[in-house]
Amino acid sequence: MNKRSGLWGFIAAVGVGSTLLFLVGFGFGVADIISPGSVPFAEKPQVKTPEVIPDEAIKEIRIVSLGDSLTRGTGDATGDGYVRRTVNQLRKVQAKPVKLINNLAVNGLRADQLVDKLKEESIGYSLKQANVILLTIGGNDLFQSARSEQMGNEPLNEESLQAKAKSGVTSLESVLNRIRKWNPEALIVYVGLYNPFSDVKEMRVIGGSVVQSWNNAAASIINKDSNMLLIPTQDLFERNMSIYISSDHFHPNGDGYAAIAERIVQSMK
Amino acid sequence: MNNMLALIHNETLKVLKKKRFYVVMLILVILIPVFTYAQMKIAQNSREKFDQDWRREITQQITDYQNTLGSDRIPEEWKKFRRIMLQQLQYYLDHDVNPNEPNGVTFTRTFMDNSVNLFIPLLVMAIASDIVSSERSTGTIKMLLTRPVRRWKILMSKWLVLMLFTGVVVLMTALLSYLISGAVFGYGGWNFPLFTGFNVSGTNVNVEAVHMLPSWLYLLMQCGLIWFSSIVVAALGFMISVLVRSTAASIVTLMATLIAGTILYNMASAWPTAKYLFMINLKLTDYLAGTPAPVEGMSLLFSLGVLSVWGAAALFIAFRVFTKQDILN
Repeated sequence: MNKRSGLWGFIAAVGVGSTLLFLVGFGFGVADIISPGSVPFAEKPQVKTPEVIPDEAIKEIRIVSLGDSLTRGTGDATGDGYVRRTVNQLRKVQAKPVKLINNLAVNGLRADQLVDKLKEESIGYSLKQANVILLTIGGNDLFQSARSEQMGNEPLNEESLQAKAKSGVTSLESVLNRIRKWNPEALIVYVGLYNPFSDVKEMRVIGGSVVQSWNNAAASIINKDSNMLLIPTQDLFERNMSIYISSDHFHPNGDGYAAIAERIVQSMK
Repeated sequence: MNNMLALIHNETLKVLKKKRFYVVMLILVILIPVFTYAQMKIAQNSREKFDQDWRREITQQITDYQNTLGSDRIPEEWKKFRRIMLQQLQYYLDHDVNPNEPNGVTFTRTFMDNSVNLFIPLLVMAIASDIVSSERSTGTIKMLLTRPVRRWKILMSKWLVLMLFTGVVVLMTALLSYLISGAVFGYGGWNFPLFTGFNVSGTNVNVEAVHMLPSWLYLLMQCGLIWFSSIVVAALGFMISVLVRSTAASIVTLMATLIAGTILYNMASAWPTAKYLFMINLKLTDYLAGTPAPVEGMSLLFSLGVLSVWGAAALFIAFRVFTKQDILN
């Protein structure tokens, strides 16, 4: 009986104590939700940016990739895309360890949207840690509307496409500049555009010429920086649409991504 | 008054004697290590992929959310939810604070957040469901009611004991999850800052009112809100225990209601009237964390009101029935 009455006393004390404690917590909680910051210990947050400690001794290849759905790997059944394939292949050929820091690609991103995204401190934080930056952008600038037009069976309008290419290339230039600003040393690898309509009779020529002028303009920007690379892909896909393009008729499939990855690895030896 | 205290003493002994309470403790002691282990696996995975750099992990998470937003197959409500989470994550990132700082306090906070609408109510119900009905199924109720004590006093003592145990259950859940997870993640982090006050309107998050709270205060508020939900659940369990004769039936009734609630929670946006059900309002902690409510237009005061009405009605019915009904057989 004695032991039991000790336990009852304990339970009752804990019960009353916790009830009082939770009443206080409940009161604070309700007060803070209804009028935010009214409780003691509340502080206003400060915007802070983290310091990246530059590690001179880094002996590994650190990759950050960004851009559109191609970098994301859309259309690849394995989900690896060209980014992971590149990483895997580099691991085989390079003596140094290879590491994928972040894949920051977003489906459907256009060059002008990427310019905005690159203003973010958190993106810069990842970019600063990289020594190789993989990039695809531009496909959506040119063909986002064309893809929907294609559904409606309207022919591509070359003039409007060329105009889009012109403004898109300007955005591309600011994209590259911004990446450079975050990271002055990294190797920037830009994967050029291919013509997704090269097997569609009425769009082949128009698509090809627009892609050609985009890639030319990109090449002349990239040419100015000795630490930038343009990986051409137009020739890869030109006659291989049936084997390299996925069922959405726009993105590469696994084999298409493997072909892009191979080119990147070859040019990074 | 002495009379009441003796009754409470008596009822506490009954609960302890029935061993239900120890089963609840046992469930906690077994389940929390399981969750701790799962959390540890997640942490290990992130260490391998991101070298323990939480900033990169959050950046990746934000990017992944952005990618799902573009898909036409994702329902509009999920997109809305993700847009809001995305903005909150970005806010944490901009202010250089890790929302998932690995330690025992963070684990406890997450665990409590996830157990508010099902796990803790179940534990409370394990005690509430048979507090009256067992007296009837075993026949001891006659013994109890032949004493020279008013019926409402007997029921009141039972209700007070149930409140005591509800407090103990919530406290033990928090305490055990801190003690057990702390062994793996460390016991620190009481002063780590957390953000609260995200004002969600539509898909936009207004950060004007956002402020920092130390983790201990946040945890205290959270437990207080959970305690309130638990008391309401206890009141409902109490009522059913009075109304239903068999303990099994009363447990099943309550469990079915709660589980239906968690299912409904995900569909509530399509059926706005559901916001008047108590199950939809149990997640009071969401208002603290800034997670959007399941139905547009719900607020803390609304939820508190709905819960209070349900709880008060349940207690009223319980007392009314218990004091008026004939006890046969």
